[in-house]
Amino acid sequence: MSILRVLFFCSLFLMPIMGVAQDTTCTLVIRGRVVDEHDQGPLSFAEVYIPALNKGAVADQQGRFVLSGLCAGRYLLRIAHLGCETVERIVQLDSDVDLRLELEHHAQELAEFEVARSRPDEHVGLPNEGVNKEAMEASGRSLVEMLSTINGVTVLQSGPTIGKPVIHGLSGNRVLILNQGIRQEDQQWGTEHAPGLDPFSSDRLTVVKGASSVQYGSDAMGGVVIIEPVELPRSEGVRGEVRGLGVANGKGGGGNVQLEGGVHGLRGFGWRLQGSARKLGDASAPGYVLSNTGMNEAATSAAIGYRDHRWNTTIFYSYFGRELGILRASHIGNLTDLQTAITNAQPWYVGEFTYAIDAPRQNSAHHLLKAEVGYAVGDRDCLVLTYARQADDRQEFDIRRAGRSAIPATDLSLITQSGDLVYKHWIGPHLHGKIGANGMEQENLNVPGTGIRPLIPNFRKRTGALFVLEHLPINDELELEAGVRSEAARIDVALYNAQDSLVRPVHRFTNHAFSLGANWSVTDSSRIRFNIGSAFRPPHVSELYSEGLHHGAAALEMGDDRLGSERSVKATVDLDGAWFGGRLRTNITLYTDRIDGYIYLRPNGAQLTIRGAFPVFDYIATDAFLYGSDLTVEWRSTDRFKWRSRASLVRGRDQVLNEWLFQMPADRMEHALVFSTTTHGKWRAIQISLTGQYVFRQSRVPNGVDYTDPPAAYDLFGLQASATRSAGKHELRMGVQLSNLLDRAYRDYMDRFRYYADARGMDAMLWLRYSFGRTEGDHRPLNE
Amino acid sequence: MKTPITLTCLVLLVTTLLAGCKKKDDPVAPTPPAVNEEEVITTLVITFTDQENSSEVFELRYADVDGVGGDPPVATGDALPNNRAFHVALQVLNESASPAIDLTGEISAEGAEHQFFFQGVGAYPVISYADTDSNGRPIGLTNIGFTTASGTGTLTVILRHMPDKNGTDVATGDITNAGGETDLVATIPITVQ
Repeated sequence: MSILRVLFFCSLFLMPIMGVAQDTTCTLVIRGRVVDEHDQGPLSFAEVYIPALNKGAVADQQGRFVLSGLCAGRYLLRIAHLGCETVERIVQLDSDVDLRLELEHHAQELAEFEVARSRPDEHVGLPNEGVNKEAMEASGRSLVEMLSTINGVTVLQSGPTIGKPVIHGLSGNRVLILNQGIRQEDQQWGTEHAPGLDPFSSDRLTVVKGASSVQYGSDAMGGVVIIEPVELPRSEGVRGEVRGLGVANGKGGGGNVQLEGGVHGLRGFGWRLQGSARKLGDASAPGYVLSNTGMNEAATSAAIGYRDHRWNTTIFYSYFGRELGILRASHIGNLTDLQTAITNAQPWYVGEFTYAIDAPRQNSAHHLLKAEVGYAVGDRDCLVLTYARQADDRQEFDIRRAGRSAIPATDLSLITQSGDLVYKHWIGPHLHGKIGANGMEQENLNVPGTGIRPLIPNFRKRTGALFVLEHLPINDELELEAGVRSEAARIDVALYNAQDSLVRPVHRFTNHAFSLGANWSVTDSSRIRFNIGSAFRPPHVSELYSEGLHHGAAALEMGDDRLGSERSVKATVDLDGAWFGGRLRTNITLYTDRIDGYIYLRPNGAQLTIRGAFPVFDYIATDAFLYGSDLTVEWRSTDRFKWRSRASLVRGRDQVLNEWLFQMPADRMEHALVFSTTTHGKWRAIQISLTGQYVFRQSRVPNGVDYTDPPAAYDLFGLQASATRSAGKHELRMGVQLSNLLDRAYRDYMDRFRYYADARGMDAMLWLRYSFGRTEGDHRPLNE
Repeated sequence: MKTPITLTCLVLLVTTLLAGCKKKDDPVAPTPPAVNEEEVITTLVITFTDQENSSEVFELRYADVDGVGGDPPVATGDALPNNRAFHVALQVLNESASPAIDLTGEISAEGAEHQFFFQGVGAYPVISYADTDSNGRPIGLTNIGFTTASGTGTLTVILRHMPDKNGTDVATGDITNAGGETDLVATIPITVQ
């Protein structure tokens, strides 16, 4: 018993999503709360288990649990809690249900075991939302599009191929991306740099919509995007899946193959191999081809791990490579060219559809190697050491003379090494948490041979940090969390100044962060999450030392080497409620975010050059204040029909100049009618949904910063359908997704290429997944 | 209690690993390569040669020697005689390099991807194309020009890279439908006497 306990405890630490087994067929959800039959108090960390599916979940501190990805049907549910008699209940599952499960329990036996099963909330008080595998499959072509299905998350685009996530109005270096538990370190400073991540490498995405610098370090200002690692199998037998994807707009597609298994005779070993590729040609707007917007991607990953009662070791490697074209018509010479582009209804260059990718284009490659060792110390504590190395290569090709288009205009190599040591400790039932140290070293190198002055200089960055984050469960209904972090960064820069002599400035930044969070279960069906936390971000070298022409923007951008760190305090309140027996569910998130030293580009006159006139933009700091809310209402009218409405608002103010901030997402709302049915012939888990999205015109813009007025409001309609069927012992799941059904011509305020062309028109996507060799006993019953 | 011993061992192991991994190299950033930006255009030189008398040569020059940013470009040049016909030749230089690089050959070699456009205000030489690219369309490096009225005005020369030479009236020198990317804009004051 003790061995199992430790194993479980440690594994939870490494695999935050374990317990919700990743079955891949269906989409129904059982939610609920486990309470004591006598005093109706929550039974923390109770296990809810479906033996027939080998699938289980562990309730949280407040007795709440979620079992997702279930097919419709009749299930035996086994509920276990140490100190209680195990009880079983039959549940007829036709649609999502909410359960209140009562157990008879003997309090005196509880204290010790409660700890051993503990799966503390990783983000106490912070609104966080996930996208599971089914939703990922059905919601788009890129990882960033999948993220944008979360309320409060939008996309900052540079044409149809390049997108960056925006959380509560902040993006780029103000959003932290954690891939496999490692900070994604690529060239995130430019709006035309999309994160290099394979949507097939994970089966769950989580977005934390709050300041989380305490736990994750700098840049976690708007929020954190977590690409969750997939747990390695531990039992013998090979299983896997093949996925295919066809896309109409762009006439392309892709595929993914994944194999995983255990090792015969070596219990505890597990492995996984995965490879994917995608190819798309030019996308189309209504009425014309968006020339040179094709894309090729290839990715692979491999993982191997060993796990026993004390050790949990994983080695993970992934590669992601991408080549993409940038809209031909967006390559312009000067301000006059830009103004001509804005007044023309169509892009000046529209060619025939092609798969060929020409300059301007980008090539990027991202490698990640991660080694992690977890060791259970005693019965309750756990020590985890993680080392990661990332190599990111980026080449950008411009349209140049005399065959130089084949020579990259920008050629950057960014190598990052990081080490983390975390000690997870148990002091008492009302105080447990983790304490950790991080170190990082990063080197940015301009690869010689471009024949162009580098946009950003060479630099070497080192950071070191210490943090402590403690959980303080007060009682059955209230759980608190508090944490602090200190982080020091040193940046050594090497560049040629305006007089062409080599200079080596050094910058040092020290920052501190705090966080206070609370989860409060007001009633069984309502919960409040509250968090106030700070975040920081030292200025990026591009903000300190940019000096020159930004081609796509037709602007001269000037850095300022005196800029200091951005520091923010963000407060969030998240209210979750279920009403009328769970038929109505509501969620509202409210937030305010104060950022001191918010760095942005401010216009500062124009400069005449031999290429014509260019506006000059200076990087300056101001004090910003952001606030807003995300709202979701879900009404289940019958077992088959569900209505869902969502709305998201963001406001951003420049406190110094008393005006609006540039490039804040416009207000938006989305409505969906979801029809789901259990079986039809050989098909099951059938779901059809019709969605309508309305994006308002952004009327809150600063004066004189933009080249043109914000684009008009638009509405988009979409239709999704998916279903599953068995194919012998295997399983086939497929779906279609139609987006921009009415082929609307529109431009989005958050698309930098709105100056040049309309956004993508109507699109249809067909996807399927064939899973084979899934064996029983994959997920060990927790009460074994 | 064996836990503290195990923990101590582990911490020692970790410390050793971390120390072992640490690179003992130069803490400063790697030296960037010095870049000689060969393809930068800094200077446009327009030479007017009298068609009747080739010893009569007039020159206009538009130069931004420190490149984009820094000081604004400077226009200089001779006054042009009125009622004359000229051979008009354009020369494009990179004078930020030393010695200066003549980029005219690069443009001529990629003639199909380049085109000069001429616009004037007031008194200025009217310029028409006298060269063709591989598709039989004008480039604008070699031209003929006429002065027909005396006075002062300006001549604007625009070099477009990758224009749509098939666009309406583009081949006759109208920039409206040319598209492409502006590589050079020179607005030069003109005196015709």
